[in-house]
Amino acid sequence: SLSLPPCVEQVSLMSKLEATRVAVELLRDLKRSTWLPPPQPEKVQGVIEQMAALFAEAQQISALLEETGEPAGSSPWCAPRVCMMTVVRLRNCLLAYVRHRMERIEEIRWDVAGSMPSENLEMLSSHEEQYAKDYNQLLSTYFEKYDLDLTRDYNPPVHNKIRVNVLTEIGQFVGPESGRDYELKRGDSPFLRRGDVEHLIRQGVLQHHV
Amino acid sequence: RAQQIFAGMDEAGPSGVDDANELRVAFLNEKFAPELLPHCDELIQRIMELIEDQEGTIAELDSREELQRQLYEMELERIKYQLREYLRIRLKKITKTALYLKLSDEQQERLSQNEREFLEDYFSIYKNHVDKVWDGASEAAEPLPGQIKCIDEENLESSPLVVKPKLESHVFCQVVRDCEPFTLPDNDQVVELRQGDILLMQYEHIRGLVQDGSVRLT
Repeated sequence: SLSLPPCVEQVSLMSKLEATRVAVELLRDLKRSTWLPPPQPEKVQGVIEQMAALFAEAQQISALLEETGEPAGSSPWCAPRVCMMTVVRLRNCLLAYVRHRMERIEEIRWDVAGSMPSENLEMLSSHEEQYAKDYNQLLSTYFEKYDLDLTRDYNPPVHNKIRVNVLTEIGQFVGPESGRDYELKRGDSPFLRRGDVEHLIRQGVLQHHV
Repeated sequence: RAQQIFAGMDEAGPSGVDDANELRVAFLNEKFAPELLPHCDELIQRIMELIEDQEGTIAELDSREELQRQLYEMELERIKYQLREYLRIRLKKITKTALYLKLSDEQQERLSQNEREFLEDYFSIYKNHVDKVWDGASEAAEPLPGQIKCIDEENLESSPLVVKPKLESHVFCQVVRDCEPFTLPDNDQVVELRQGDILLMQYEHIRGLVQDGSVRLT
C-alpha cells in the first residue's frame, strides 16, 4: 500500500470548517446588522491570506504528486482538488460579502435621495466611500438625460397637496417641484404641494398628517 | 358648466390618450416581468413631449379655472409617476443583472441608448470596486490565478456574481387578443388563450406573447 507523504496526510486531517470560519463570520455579521457592520479589513485580509495559503498548498501537493508519478485520478489527487475547491468557496464568500455591501450602498442612495447620513458613511471603508460617490454620480448623469429625478414619486399620487406637520426646524428651502420658496418652522402644519415636500417626509423631517 | 369644462379639455387628442395607455401597459409589463423587456424609448420621448405640453397648458390657465387646473395637474402627476416608476424598475433590473446583461448581446439589444451607457459605466465601477478587494490585501492576493479574482469579460461566465432573471416565476396576465394554442413543455398540456382571459402562469411560457403584445401582465 502507498505511504502518503506527510503534507497529504495533513490536508486530509485539516477540518475544512476551520478553513472557512472567518469568511462565514464576515457573512454572519452582515446578517446581524441593521444596515451594515463596520469594514473589518483584518478579516478580509485573513480570508485572502488563507486563500493564498491553500492555493500554495495545492500547488505544492500537485508538484509532489507529479514527482512521485501518481496516476491521474487516483485518490491522492483529491488533496489538491479539495484545496482548490476551498479556495473557490472562500472567494465566493468574499465576493458575496463585497456585493452585499455594494447593494446596501445603492439602496440607501435611493432611499435618502441625497448625501449619505454620516452614521452610515462611518460604516464604509474608503473604497466603499468611493463606490458610493461613483454610484451617485452615475445616477445623477442618468437622471439628467431625462431631466427627471427618479427618486421622487415612489408611491402613486393620491392628492396634489397634503397637510404636513413640521417636526424639526427646516427654515428656508426651495421646493423641487414648484420652484417656490418656503419657510417652515417647527410646529407648523402647512398645506403644501406633495412633490415639494416628498423628500422631507422620507427623511423624517416632516410628517404627513392624514 | 361642467360639460363646458370637460369639452375644452379634449386638446390632448387621440394620440395623447393612446400614448398614456401604452405607457400604462409598458409600465405594468415591466413591473411584473422577471426579466428586462425591450425598451420603449420612442414612447418615452412622446410622453415627455406630452408632459411639456400639458405643463404649458396648466401655466396658461388663469385663477378662475381652478377645477381644470386640479384635473390637469392630477393627470400629469399620475403620468409622471408611471414614467418614473417605469424607468426606475428598468434601472433596478439593470443594476441587479448587470453581469448577466454584459454576457448577452441579445439582452443588450433591449436597452435604450441611455441605458446602454449606464450599463457600461455601472459595469466599470462594479469591476473597479471588486478589483480593489484583491489589491487592498497587498501582496497576499498576488499568487492567486486571474480566473479566481477577475470579473472581466473572459472570466465572467463562471463568476458567482452573475444573477440571472428567474423566468420560471409566476405572473398574472390578461389576454389582449386570441392566441395560437401551444403546449406546455413539462406536461404536454395544451393552452389556448382567448381574448379577455386572466391567468396565472409561469412567465417563461408566455414570454414571446408578452413581447409581441398579445398578452399583458397585470
